[in-house]
Order: sequence, then C-alpha cells, then structure tokens
Amino acid sequence: MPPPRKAPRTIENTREADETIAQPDDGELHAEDATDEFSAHFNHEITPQLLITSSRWCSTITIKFIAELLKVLPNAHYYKRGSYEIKQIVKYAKNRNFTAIIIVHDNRKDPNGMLIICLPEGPTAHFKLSSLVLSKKIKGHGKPTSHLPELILNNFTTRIGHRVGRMMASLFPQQPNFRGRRVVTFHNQRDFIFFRHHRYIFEDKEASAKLKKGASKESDKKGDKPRKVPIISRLQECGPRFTLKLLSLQNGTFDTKFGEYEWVHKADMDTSRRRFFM
Amino acid sequence: MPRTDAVAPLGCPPLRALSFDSLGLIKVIENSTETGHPQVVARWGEPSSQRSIVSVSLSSDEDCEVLAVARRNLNVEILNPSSGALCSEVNVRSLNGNPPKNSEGMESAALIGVHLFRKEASGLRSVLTCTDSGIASLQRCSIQAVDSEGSNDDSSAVSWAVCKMGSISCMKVDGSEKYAAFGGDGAEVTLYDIQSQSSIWEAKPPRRDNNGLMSRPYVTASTFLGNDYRKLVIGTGHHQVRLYDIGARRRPMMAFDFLESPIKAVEADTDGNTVFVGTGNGDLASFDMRSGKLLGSFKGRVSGSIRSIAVHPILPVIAACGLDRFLRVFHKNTRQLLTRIFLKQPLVATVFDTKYPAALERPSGKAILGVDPEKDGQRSLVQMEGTEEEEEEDEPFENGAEDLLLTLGKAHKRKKSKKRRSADASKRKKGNPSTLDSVFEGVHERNQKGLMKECDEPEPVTKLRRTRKLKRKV
Repeated sequence: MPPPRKAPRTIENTREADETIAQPDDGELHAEDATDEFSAHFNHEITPQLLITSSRWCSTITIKFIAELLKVLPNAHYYKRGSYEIKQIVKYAKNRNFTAIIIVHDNRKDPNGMLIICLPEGPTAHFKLSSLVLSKKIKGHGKPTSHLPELILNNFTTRIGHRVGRMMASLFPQQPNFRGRRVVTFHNQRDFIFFRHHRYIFEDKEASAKLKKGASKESDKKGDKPRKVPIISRLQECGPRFTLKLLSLQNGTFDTKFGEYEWVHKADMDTSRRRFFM
Repeated sequence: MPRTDAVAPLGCPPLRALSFDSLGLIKVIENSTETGHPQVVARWGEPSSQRSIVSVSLSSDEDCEVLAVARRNLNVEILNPSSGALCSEVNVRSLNGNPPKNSEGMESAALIGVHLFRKEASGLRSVLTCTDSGIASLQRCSIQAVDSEGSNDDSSAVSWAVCKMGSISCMKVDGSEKYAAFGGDGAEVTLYDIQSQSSIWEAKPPRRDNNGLMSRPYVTASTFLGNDYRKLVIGTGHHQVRLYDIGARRRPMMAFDFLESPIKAVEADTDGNTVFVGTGNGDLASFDMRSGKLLGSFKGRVSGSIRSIAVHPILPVIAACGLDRFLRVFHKNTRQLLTRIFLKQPLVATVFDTKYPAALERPSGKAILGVDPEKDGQRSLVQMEGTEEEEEEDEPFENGAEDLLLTLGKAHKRKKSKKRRSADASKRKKGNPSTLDSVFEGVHERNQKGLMKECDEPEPVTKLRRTRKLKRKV
C-alpha cells in the first residue's frame, strides 16, 4: 500500500499568513457590506450604467479592445475622450447617473492600464493591464450573444480583495440570463486578476460525439425506456482575455492631487514572494 | 519548508488604546505583557453608517478621564473610556435650534472636530464642536447626570462662525485650552480666543512662487507645539508643513514640502520640537521643527491614508491608524514598528488611555516609568530629558521607561544576526552595549536648546535656530 499522496506545495498554499482575510461569519464584514458604496447595487436598487472611454490620443488597438468590452459589459456606453480631464468626465457622468467609469490607458499603442471609477462616491481602482488577447486572436472563439452574463469571482479573499470583488460585481447587472449560457470570470491568483469570457453548453455525450463525426445515424433507439445519458459540458471562449493587477485603490472618485488612498502598492511590500494582498 | 509567516514585529510595552472607525465602532486594544502584541478586548457600539465617528477628544484630569466622540449624525457622545458607559450626549443639531448649514446652504453639514475641556471648578465640562460649514459651538454639560435620552437642555450653548469662505476641515485646541485654531479648504488657519469667541490671529497666505502663482489655502491638519499656543504647525493639502509663530508674524516661519500627497495628520511630540506627519498616501515621518529637517520615516508597510496619529504621553511610542484598517504602534525615536493590529474597518481616530499602566499596577507603574503618572506626565518627560548632556549616542531613556522597554531591545537583539551586531558595536563609539541595544540607537537628545518651556512664559519663536537657506525661503 503506497503512502497517500501529499498535496503539492505551491506558492498559493504556502502564502504568508494574513489576518485581513475576510471570514464568512464576521458580523462586521456583513455590516460593512450593508452600508458601503456598492450596497445599493447589491440591494437591487440601481442597475449599472457604464461609461467607457480611453486615454487621450488612443491607438486603434485600444479602440478595438473597448469595442470588445462593450460586448462583454451590458449597459456600457462608449464616449470619445476628446481632451476632457478625468475630473470633468466624472462630473459629467455623475450628472447622467452613470454608476461607473472605465478608462483604458495605452502607451505606445499598447493598452496598459485600466481605471475603474465607481460613482457617485468612489472608490477608484487603478489596474495595470497586461496580456491582452483580443477575440480575433483566440482560436475557435465564439461570438457572444446579448444575454446578461453570469459572473464568477474567484479567490477575492482579503478585505481589499473583497472590496475589489464587489467593485467588479457592481459593473454587471445582477440578474444573469441563464438561457444565454454566457459567463464572465474574474479569477484572482497571486494578486493578478484574470479576465475570461466564455460560453458553455451542456449536452449528452453521444449527441456531441455524433456532431463531431458528422454522421447522422438515428437508428440506434434501444427500447422506450429513458436511459441515463452521460452529460458533458463544453466551453468556448469568447474573448477578450486580459490580466489586471491592482496598483492603487483610492477612497472617493478620481483625485490624484488631494485624494486619499485605501491601498497603494509600495515597493517595500514586495519583500516576500509569498505575500499577497487580495 | 518555506517561510509562510511574516516576520513578527517586536512587540510593544503594556498599553491600552482606543480606535474609532467609520462604522461607528469603538474598539479597545490592550496589551498587558511586557513585549506582547495587543488584542481587542472590547467593542462598543453597533455598526451603523449614520453613527460613523468623525472626531474624538480625550480629556484627562488627575483623577479621571472622559472621552468625547463626535458622530456623523451631529451627535457628540461623552463616554467613560475605561468602561464605555455613556455619560452624556449632546446634539449639535439641537444647539442652534436649526440644523447648521454647509457652504452651499444644504442641511447636510457634518461635524469635523470635537474637543472636550478639562473639568471646571463647578464640576461641569465644556465641549467645543465645529462643523465643516464653519460653525463652532461651545456647550457646557454635566458628566455626572446620566440621562441617556437626548441632550442636556439646561446647558448653555454659544456658537459662532469661524469661516468666511470655503469649508473647515480641522480644529485644534491648544494645551492651555484658551485658544482654538481652525483651518480648512479655502480657509487659512485662524486662531480664536474661546472665551471671547473672537479671532485673534489669522495666517496670511505664503508669497507667490517664482511663477507668480498662489495656491489656494487648504489646511488639512494642525497642532500646537508643546503647551505653547504661539507655535502652530499645520499640514496642507499641497503636501506642505508650515510652522507659524503667532507672536511674530502672519506668514509661516518655516515651510517645507513632504512627498507628493496631501498631509492628513500632524501631531506634535511631547518634547515640543518634533512633529509626526502622515499623508494620504500612507507615509509617516517625523520632523524636527527647529530646523525643518526630516528625522526619518516610519516603515511598516503602511498602505493606506493615515487619518490619525496619537502620541503616548509617557511611553516613547506613537500609534497611527487610517484607511488601511490597521493600527500600528511605532517607537518614537527608533521609528521601528513595534506592533500592528488589524481592526477590520477604516479607522478614523485613535487615542491612548494614559491611565492604563497605572491602572494595571500603580506602584510598579511609578517604579518602571520613573514618573508619577498622576502628575503631569508630559512635563516630567521633558524635564528629565532636558538634563541629559550627551548627544548622538546610545543613551538610556531619560524618562525611565527604558527598563520597561529594555526587554523589547533584548527581544530584538536575539533576532539580529551576529554579523549585524558586531557592525553595530563598531558603529557605536562610546555607547554602553550591555545596557542598550541598537533598538534605542539614535535616541536623540533634542531638548537642550528646546523650544518648549513652561507655558506661562513662552519664548518667542524668532529665536528659533534656522539655517540660512530656510531664512531665504521664508
């Protein structure tokens, strides 16, 4: 009898102990969730309305990326950046009852930053954006339908993570249309948030095998007893695909001059590779 | 097996602190061991966003301590800091008959500051509150009368406007409790005589810079140096720290920039020279206000804006808290992180319970600390420090708290490698390595030519030692 196999040691399961990890039975956590900036969204009081814009003089790749974001995010509206300042845009969007602003920054024709400003009273998150793959580059990608997507938020464990997770959730309407079988994933791993957009289908194994073969033999009916058909699920990626890393979380709306930060990434935080903040 | 836990901070001396958060909770943090980490021992209040705490004030007399807590719903609660029992309640809304209005004429004015005065001869205490619209009100209330319902109607209230334009964001009352400084966004710092409710001094904006530009006044924090109301230090939203001498002139005696984010907290040390400055980006540093020199910054992975700094009157420790939900305790002189505790909510303010070590065991408190905590702890610390002669050297703690903290140093010593220790030893020229460790290295003797004198006969700040460069700047 061989000894039971040990679980492999990974960076994640040997991460530094963190006292800020949100506990599900914490009354204060629920009390804060009931009163924070996103509570109106989670109480079904408001539906998200998003304003998406780019940095000034953005590249065509950014425009393509925004076009794909518009397909992913329901109720999102693209506005040309023009030469407006972010504070002016915040004021404009507040007056028109938008619930969030997303600004995609680029550098040398390469989208490299994303700013999510929750309205009307913040918070503002600044992410580094990397590993962007547009739908067209994904092999066998599907075209998303306009059904409201489901949302998966993975591993947002600490209080900062919890807050960022709630912020991501507040970008999407709360009633997913399961008929659409569309799912948007924010997967956090080692403080990197991976964004994926998929379509799924459940079908019986044989039907899918037949489809693959292209054969159309319908003669194998074995009696009238309904038998247990093995069901398999298939997944198709719709895109885009990108990775976010939190750089700062600001209290209130965008204000780099007089703003206060709830969390800022600083150099002295990177002294251990087993320390994560989300 | 890789290291899966963070390096533990050193641990702090026995202390008791209270933290106040934006969900209206008050948490009591206590450490009774010599080099331990504090624990939350009590939580007062129910979470509610309406009861969010905006400002607190601890008034400590010889025999008792009383705490005033200003909440968002314009209520000021007066509590007993040792038990959390509600002594009295004042509603600022009911003071004026009509709710105070903010600068846009809306009724949603918010309290920004509260100060609880020392007990008067009649046994009553006064409470000074200020709203962001600039209405300061002074009310007298009795602490003993415990009526939990509503405010004390028999008390008299005086209110006056402290701001002509803009909004007020900070209020500070000096050590003698005669004057209060108000400042804010669009309002330069102004000193008011509390008795007559009249303005006695108003700051002038600094001169135009070399581009001919002026920045709009934006005072975010203020404090008085020592017990002298004439030495006022403010922090601005334009990341500048300014020292004013009220007796000398209306422009700052000294002004210097600190990093690039707005200054959110300024607190004076008990020695009357040093100030601790916290910013909206989570940077904490101490400055010597005689020269304007940065003494050093406090490291401890502070990741969120610092809202409040508390200086312990007896022990050489400070506590800082803010939006990153941690309360951190640092050593004042070595600037080392002693302990930190996660308190779950964005913190607004923190205060030390100054009576705590005495309450723990009163006789040993005297012996350990070398001072009688019942007497004025602040003054005695300064006086004892003033007798020291050596400079820039390993020297024992002047106030006698050294014995208490020596164990800390030993704990630290154990952690250090031999190599580092020998390097430390070579660095020291004539220090006594057997009595003190490098934890206490660089304990500065700052009081020889100190600013701080008795508050009765303040020395004019014009005698401040300033460098030539700084003179030019002013």
